[in-house]
Amino acid sequence: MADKNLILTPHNAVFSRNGDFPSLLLREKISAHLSLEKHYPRVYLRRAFPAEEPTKYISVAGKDEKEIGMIPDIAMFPEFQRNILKNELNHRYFMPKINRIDKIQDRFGHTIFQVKTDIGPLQFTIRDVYRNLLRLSDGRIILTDADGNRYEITDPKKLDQKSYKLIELYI
Amino acid sequence: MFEVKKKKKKALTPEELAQTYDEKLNINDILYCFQYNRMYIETGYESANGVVCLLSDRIMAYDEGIQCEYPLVLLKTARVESSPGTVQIYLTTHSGDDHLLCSADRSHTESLALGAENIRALIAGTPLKEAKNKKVSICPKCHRPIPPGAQTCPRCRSKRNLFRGIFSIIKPYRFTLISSILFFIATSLLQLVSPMLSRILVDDYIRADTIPRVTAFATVVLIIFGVSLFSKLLSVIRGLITIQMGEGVIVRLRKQIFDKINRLSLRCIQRRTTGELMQRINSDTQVIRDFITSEMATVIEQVLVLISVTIIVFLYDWRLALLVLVPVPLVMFLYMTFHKYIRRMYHRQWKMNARANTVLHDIFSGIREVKAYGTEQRETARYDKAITDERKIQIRNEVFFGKIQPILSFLMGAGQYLLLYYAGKSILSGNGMSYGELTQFTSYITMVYGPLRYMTTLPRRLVRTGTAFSNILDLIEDEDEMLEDPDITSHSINGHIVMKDLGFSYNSEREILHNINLDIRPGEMIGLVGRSGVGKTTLVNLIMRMYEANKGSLTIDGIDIKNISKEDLRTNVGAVLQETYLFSGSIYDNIAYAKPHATKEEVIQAAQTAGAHDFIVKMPDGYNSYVGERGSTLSGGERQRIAIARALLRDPKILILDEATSALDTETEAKVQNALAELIKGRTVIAIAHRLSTLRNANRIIVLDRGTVAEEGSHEDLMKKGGIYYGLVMAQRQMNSRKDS
Repeated sequence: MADKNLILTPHNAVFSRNGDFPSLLLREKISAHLSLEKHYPRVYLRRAFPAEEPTKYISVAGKDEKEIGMIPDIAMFPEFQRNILKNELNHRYFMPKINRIDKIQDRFGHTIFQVKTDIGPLQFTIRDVYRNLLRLSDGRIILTDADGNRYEITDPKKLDQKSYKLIELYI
Repeated sequence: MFEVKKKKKKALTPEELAQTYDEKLNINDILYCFQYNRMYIETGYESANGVVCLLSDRIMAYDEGIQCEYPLVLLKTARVESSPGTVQIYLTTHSGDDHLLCSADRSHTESLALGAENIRALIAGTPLKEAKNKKVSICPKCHRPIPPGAQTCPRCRSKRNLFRGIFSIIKPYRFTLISSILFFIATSLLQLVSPMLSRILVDDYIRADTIPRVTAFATVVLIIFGVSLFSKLLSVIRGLITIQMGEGVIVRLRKQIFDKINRLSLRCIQRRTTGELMQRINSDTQVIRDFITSEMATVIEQVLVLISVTIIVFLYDWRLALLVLVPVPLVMFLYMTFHKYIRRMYHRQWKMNARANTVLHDIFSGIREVKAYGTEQRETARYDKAITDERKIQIRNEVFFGKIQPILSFLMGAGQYLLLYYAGKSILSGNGMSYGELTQFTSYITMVYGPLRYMTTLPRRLVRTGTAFSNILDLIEDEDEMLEDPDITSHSINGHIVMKDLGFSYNSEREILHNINLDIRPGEMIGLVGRSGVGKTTLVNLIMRMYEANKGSLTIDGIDIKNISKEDLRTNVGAVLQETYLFSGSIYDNIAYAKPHATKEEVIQAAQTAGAHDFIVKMPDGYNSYVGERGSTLSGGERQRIAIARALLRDPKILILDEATSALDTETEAKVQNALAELIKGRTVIAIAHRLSTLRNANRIIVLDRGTVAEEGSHEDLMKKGGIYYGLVMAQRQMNSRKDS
């Protein structure tokens, strides 16, 4: 049996909140008059295109990590549900946003960054900056550190002079 | 990643931290605790400095007070989940609800994994595990775990450690190094002498007031000639010796590195690409060789010349000297400022070049795909763009250098024009230096520029040399393959494999295998089934001791696998794997690889049993036929049968079989099946099975699911059970029937 490619829309899916997680009520149409409802107390959301499409093509999976279906666009869903989904995605793909770069120390084999972000001052190490600095098409810069944590510079041009000077060498 | 420390006098242990949040908490009640640094809030996460404490009856999370509390009786299990942004622990209650216990950034992955494990242990009532090293076994710089046995993180080398490491590499070659240094110094000292001779020549003979004697003049000229000749001779000898010594050094170095790579554990070798390993042996050793035979000596020589000439010049006339040398610091300063920019430029160019090469490599290795999909034009365009981009950067760099270099050179030499002016003035006024002195002075000054120019290239050289050393040290200090107890006695192996509670994970994030309990009796044939990627190959790797299990025990004939000598193990465990690797050599070499001293009769016997003899003999060169890279001149079935012959020749007690999933035509498949049937006789066989026929012949079938043994039994038993195995068999039957219809 091939994998079901189920598209989740407001017609067959209702998302609600279960504590801190989203849960899903799925309505499957068996025949013209019969539909089956299945409740997933907790679902996991994953972006198919994390870098390009933050609210489109979202994969929804159950606790056993099997995909239930895919949401083509979150905007399809009414506001309340949309917020639940957005909230979950923001948490899953959370990245501190760098608003100032205090210091970049170039060492042998790794580079140490001291920055200020929207969650406070942070320090991290990047092994190979050239390989771990990603420039997205909309101008954002994503840095990945030695542990896999990601940091975002939303608009490098909006950084102050000093910060920009420090980072421009790596762009 | 850690928060910038706020002037704390002493870092608190997690227990102490918890107590600061809750004075009522008694430290002795804490069975286990760990820190976390993120807190879930409505809009995302916030930095936190919290502790999770495991008490005998509950689990609590503290951060500026009690954040949450869960009585143990309510809890069913705990698990770690990691996402691109964070790592979290979720508690599941008996009613099936999930609750978030704590969050942290990914640097806490291991610590949270251990925390979740201990929570599970606490729930189950089993003993808790201590954190591996209370002392940080995480490198404070790069946050990678320090490999066992290493004192410092081999990857983040502080300059001091680098020097220590370099010293240890160079030590065997110190004689070479010192002799080359001495030679270089000798040649440069001679250099220092010649301006003095010029002065004597000019002042006392050429511009002398009295006419000198011809013989005296001739002597001086002869001396100059002699010194020059001697100096040239020394250079030639130096060159010859450098080359000769160099060859000796590089051969030894390469052998040393290759030896070490062979001794590395599989994990460490696989971590690196082939290209990387080859670069270590080929180019990095070359850089080190150059360093030992000439670079180090050149640096010392240049420094020596620079210092001595500067002293001489200053002693002579400090005002003039200052005049000439003043522009130099300016130039060096300019150079230093540009240095970082220059490095980036070169790196960008190098990146573009690497990208162009990768594109090329990609296209060629996938040339079949390119032709099949007809994308030649697209690929050509891709390569064009890559080299155009590279060229653009290259031009930019060269233009930049074209502008800068002459300016820098001019500025460096600007002093000479000042010298000309002032010295000339003083000579013309009659009471300054003599012509000879001027000549000498000028010669010395020019001798300063050589070393100075060399110094400007020094940073680049240092980086290159440092990188080469660092790479080599990285290799040398990496984990050796599991060390063997020298007192191991040899055992004859029967093939009784027992696994108790075996667990394994490549890294701390995901456990591939856990709670594996198996008892495989000698001579038994076991079919190992399960979905793709469930861990079958990993299990087999553990039996072959390619990796060591993290948990539990694996014994063969009652002896722990770690206590069996590697030789015994490798002789008695054979494998026929999915990808048949045939190396460059003859078919005979490939079969006899298992047993280099095998007689021709033995090899032919093995090939016959494997069903390979027929096609080998039909080939024009028979057993001496060359099997090219990856054995490309043979078909899949033929390669498989050669691999089987190889395994047969070794005659192992334990055989690992990984059935190729490639579709062979029925005739070949039957041949391979027959060969395999022969191979299996009388051995303990563990077959990663895909074919129904193999499974039916197995004594027992083991079904792996989600990293552990889900079902176990004979084919009939499992079919009756109607579980995972039943599902797999029915699926395959359906597929087969579809094929036929």
